[in-house]
Formats: sequence, structure tokens, C-alpha cells
Amino acid sequence: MGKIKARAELLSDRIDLPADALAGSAKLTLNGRRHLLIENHKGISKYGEKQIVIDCGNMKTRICGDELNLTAMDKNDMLITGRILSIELE
Amino acid sequence: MKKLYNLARGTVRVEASGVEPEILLNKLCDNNIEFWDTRSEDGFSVLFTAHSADLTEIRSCALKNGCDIKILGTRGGKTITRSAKRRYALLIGIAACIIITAVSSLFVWSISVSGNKNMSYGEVVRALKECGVEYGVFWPAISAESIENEILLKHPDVSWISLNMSNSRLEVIIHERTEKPDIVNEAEPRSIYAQKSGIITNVSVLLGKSAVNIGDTVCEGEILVNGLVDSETGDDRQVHAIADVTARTWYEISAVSPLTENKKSEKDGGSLKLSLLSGKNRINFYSDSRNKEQSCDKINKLRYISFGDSFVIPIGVDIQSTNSYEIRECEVDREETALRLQDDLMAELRYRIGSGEIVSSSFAVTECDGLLVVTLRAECMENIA
Repeated sequence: MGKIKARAELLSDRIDLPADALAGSAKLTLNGRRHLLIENHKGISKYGEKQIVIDCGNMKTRICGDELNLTAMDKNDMLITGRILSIELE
Repeated sequence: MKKLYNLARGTVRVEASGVEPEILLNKLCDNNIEFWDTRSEDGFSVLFTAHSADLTEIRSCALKNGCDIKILGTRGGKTITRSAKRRYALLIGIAACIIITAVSSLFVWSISVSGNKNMSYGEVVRALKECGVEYGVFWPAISAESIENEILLKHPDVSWISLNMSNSRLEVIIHERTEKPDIVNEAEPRSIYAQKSGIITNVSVLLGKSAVNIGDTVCEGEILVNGLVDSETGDDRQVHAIADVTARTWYEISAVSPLTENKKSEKDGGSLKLSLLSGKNRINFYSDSRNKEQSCDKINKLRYISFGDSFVIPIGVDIQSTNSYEIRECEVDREETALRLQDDLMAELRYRIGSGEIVSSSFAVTECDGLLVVTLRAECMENIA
């Protein structure tokens, strides 16, 4: 499954298509440092006030900050608010 | 809007505690259960808000994932209806408001007029009053058609009128009569005379006998084209002369304006008076309604309670503000006044020559006896027939 996704991402790179459209990769949109919108997520792995870890399929996204809140969440999208200090991809 | 929707549906604040409360959040997403405002208390508990209707499903998800659910509070939905059941005064108040609004919508509380050009709003309202339509009148007792006919009969300036009642607002649409143009009887024998003095530059006669030539100087009232034409077969015959006679004309028009003008300057000591309006009744929150100042502007602002543009309730306030002023004589700005007078003179000249053209023009500005005199001298080319 991982291999197929990696190839789909590679293909979308070659034909200049956004990866989230073809491979369903996660899309992170950061507005300033207080709003982070994550599309195509696969769920939460860890949830705390200082750190949230999101499962994005083929990678994990670690968001570190202060007073982090999960303002809204549904099957595909989630909105994280708070003072975001760093975003790490694992 | 979303908040209002959530309040109507009812929301519940939930605390989920367990080893991994994140899994519960993922499960809620998988089951399409909407939740928001999530906050992590510590590593083992999560607070979130969801719709009250989803509580059973949340409980079952929590049970499957080994989480404990604690309800911290509920808002809206059934909570409101349950608490409203005990508030009889509130229910009676709401019912009374609905009844009052429904009944008041049968009365005219607001009149809007559109389409009037020469008739003012006040004249239209007075005309309606003469026919029995005024503020506070019971609308179902009135026939709009008969009122329309009555106004049309009484006011010849009005060619068409429509009265539309929308809730408590009466909308009046008026079309005013346009003046009939002068009808010229072309069978009547007639000569053409000069309207203005000038030097003839072009004569184009369609019917009649030309009495002037190009280059002739004519005075106002002089005959240009004669309606009496020669006949080779018999006596002279009379015709309705038709012709275009173009001439060079000269104008000298003056306009005057005083060099001083009276200006209002506001004084301290304005007052504000408040009145409560209920239908035709008025409760004043002041004792003395007289004007203490000799010169003052009195401005009344009526504010009725209304829903949107059309639904007006006959309860409102009248805010009357009185601003006193004194009149001071001050000098006018000469340049500004001269420019204004020049524009006025040019407009007057264009009105006088109609479709003619201005060949040249010049202005002269002088001061005489405390007056600013602006004189326009212009040469024009126009039809003087």
C-alpha cells in the first residue's frame, strides 16, 4: 500500500498534478502560527496541550506548541489552533 | 449562524477519560459524529462538545474503546424547551407579541411614496388623508381602488396611482401627468417672424415666400417668410409657411450676487427631547415644549420598531433635537461666487439658444454697490424662425 502511494506521489510529481489529488496525500495549510488545517489525515495518534501527533498515512506529523486545541475534526479534515511552534514530519 | 443552529439542536460538553482518548476521537470521526472545541486536560482525558442527539452513540464508542464518559454540561435543544415550560410569563409574552404584531399589521403605520417628481411626499400624504388614509387607519375597511379613483379625480396632475399594502407599510406608487405638447394646425395660413434680432446666414424655405436674404439684419418680430404667395393662375394664395432661418445672434446677460451673506453659526445650549409613541398617542418625557431660543433648528427623528423594511410596529420614539444658532453677516468668496454665476449664465444661454451653437463667449466681472456683477457676452448661431 505504501509502495503504491509512493509511486502515485512520484507520478503526480512527473505530470505536475497536486499530490493530494492523485495520491491522497495529506495537505497541511498553516495560517500564521495559530491555525493549522490538515486535510486527508488518517486520525490522531497522540493528543496533548503541548504536542499533537497526526497520522497522515505514509508519515506522522508532530505539531508542537502551547495551548493546542483541536477546534474541529471530521473524517478528512482537522483544524488545530493554538500557538504552533514547530511541525515535524516523521 | 452555526452557533444558533447548534443551540437549537442542543449541545453537550463531554469529558472522555481513558488510556488513549485519541482513539475515541478517531472512532467518532469514522462514525461521522460531529464534535468540536476539543481540549486535552491531561494525558488521559479529553474534553469536547458534541450534539446532544449523538450522546448515545458517543457512549457506545467510548465503551468499545475503554473510555469513561462524563457529562459536564448541556446547552440548548430540549433544555430550552424544558425550562420554557415552567416560564409561563415568557410564553404569554411571546404569544402577546405575536398577536400584537399580527393585529398591528392590519393598520397602516408607515407610508412610502415613490415615482413622485413634482408632488412632494407631504402633498401625497395630505391627498391620502383627504381620502381617509392616514397613519393608524384600519386597512381592510378601505377599498384601495376607490381611494385611487378619488385621488385621480381630485388631483389632475396624477395620471396613475397604485396603493399596495405590505404588512403595516403602505406603498404608494405615483405616475405624474406629462404636459401636452402644443399642437400646430398646419392647415392654418401663417407667416414666420423673427424671434430674435440678428444677421441672417442661411434661409431654407419649404413653404411660403422668403422676405429676407442672406446678410440681412433683422429685428425681433420682423417678418422672415411670408405666408402669402403669388399665384400664376389667379389671386395670391395663403399658406402655412415652413422654413429654417439661421442667424448670427448676440447676447449680453448679467447676473448679480451680494458680496455679503448671512451664515448660521451654532451656539451652545442645544437640547434633546424624547417622546414615546404608541400608535397615535404620545408620551412626552419633558415638561416644557416651548422654544427658549429665538433662532433654532428643530430636528425630529422618528424611530419605529420594525422587522426588516416592511413590518412596522406602531411603537417608537421621537427624538427632538433643538440646536440654537445666531446669524452672522460675512463676506462671500468672490472667486467662488463668480464661477457659480458664470456657470448659471452659461446654463441660461444654452436654454435660450436651444439647439443653436455658441460661436464665442467672454465674461466680465465687476463690483457695484456691494454687488458682484458677472456679465456674459456671447455670439451664437441659431434658428430664429
